Amino acid sequence: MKDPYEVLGVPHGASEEEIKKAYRELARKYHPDNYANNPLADLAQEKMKEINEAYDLLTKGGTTDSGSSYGNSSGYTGALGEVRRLIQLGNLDGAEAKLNAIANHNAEWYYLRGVIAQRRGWMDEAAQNFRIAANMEPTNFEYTRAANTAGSGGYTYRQTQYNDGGTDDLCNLCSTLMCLNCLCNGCR
Amino acid sequence: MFGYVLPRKDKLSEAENARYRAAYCGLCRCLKERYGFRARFLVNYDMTFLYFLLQEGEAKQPERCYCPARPFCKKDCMPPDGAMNYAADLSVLLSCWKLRDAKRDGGFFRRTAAGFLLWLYQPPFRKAAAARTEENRVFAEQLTRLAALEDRRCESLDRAADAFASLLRACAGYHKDAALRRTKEMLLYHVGRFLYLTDALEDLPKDNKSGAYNPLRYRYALQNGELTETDKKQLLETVDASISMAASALELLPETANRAILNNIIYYGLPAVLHSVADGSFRKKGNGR
Repeated sequence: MKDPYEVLGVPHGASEEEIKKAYRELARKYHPDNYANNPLADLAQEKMKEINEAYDLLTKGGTTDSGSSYGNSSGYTGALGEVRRLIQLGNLDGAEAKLNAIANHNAEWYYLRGVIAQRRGWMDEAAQNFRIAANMEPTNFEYTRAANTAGSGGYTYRQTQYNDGGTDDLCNLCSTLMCLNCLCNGCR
Repeated sequence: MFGYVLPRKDKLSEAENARYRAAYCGLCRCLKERYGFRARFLVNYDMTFLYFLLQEGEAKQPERCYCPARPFCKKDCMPPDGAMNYAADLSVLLSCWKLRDAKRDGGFFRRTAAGFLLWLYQPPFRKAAAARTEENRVFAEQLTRLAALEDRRCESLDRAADAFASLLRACAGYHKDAALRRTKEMLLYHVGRFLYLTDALEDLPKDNKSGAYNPLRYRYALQNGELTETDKKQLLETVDASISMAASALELLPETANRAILNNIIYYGLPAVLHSVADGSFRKKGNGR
């Protein structure tokens, strides 16, 4: 078992407030929603479990069950349900073959085609298929969400860290100084 | 290589900047020690990134070493280790495959120059290929696939990018641990997509003129040889999505001494390069990199 303080990235003897803050940040970062349709979802889930356990250990003495569970698709039936099952098993070629054999191309069909592309990392085709699905059934939350987040691959890295701060003028000033630095730094 | 995988130096601390430079210089020296002086010219930023990505364990201290570009002073160089040797070997392999590609479909002068360089780099290439047989096999296989896709003017961005991305993914072969390898494979796959698509975007005007294959010419309907604003936005979203996927993989990697530099490259460097390529300011000096 890893050191729970290390898992949460806080120093030993951190206050409850600090622990809570670190936990919230990590939990947001590794939240299952961030890794929906991501081939590394299982690793994120493991990480989440580790974080939950560390947090429980530090705040409640480790008594509670840290059961963070993903929703699974066992409720789906029919041919498309089978496609979902294959995707979940990671058998993308099998899922695609099954999907191509279905003649009725409804919104869910396009959505699943998008999921397969996204799992492969084919973001252009994923976005195209999600858009078609969302257009066919604009009231379906799953499809519209996929279409809206397709541009971020489902993982919101802008929220977590990336924001392009600083005004242009200041940046230009900095970069000019840095170029000057490059020219002058000779022996560094 | 492309030289697109860069940090944003204005967002690195002084110490991190020094480490980044020392790694670049270390790679250059490592190339020379393994492959002779001529291999120094193959040093590049993309493989410096690979070195940072693959390296594990404690932070290494730089050594002082001689630099032929600045003969009268010494520079800081990271000492060679497993990751550095690996990055050096792959620099040689990738450069030679790139030359073969240039020899295959360049114009007369490009073909002649590439042929000459290939002859010049034949011994290092043979040595690197013998040292990294599996990687070399994947490179050959994926580049053959890419050439076939180019010949039949593939209309799918994803398929064309897949060949190159799969090639870069093979660079995670350095690791034996399954989870670590899988995570870095996905990270490199998406960095590969980023490289391929950014390169396609930058080369679009040139390829349009020469009639060479460029996936963007077949995927989008161009107007006056350029992408429409809507299409450009869509393309940037697609590449951004790959950067996000790379970031999602990076977050699952164990902490190392190189984390701050890797974070900088993925979160700041790649988006900055992509957007400066898109607005045409990439090759201009002083754009904050």
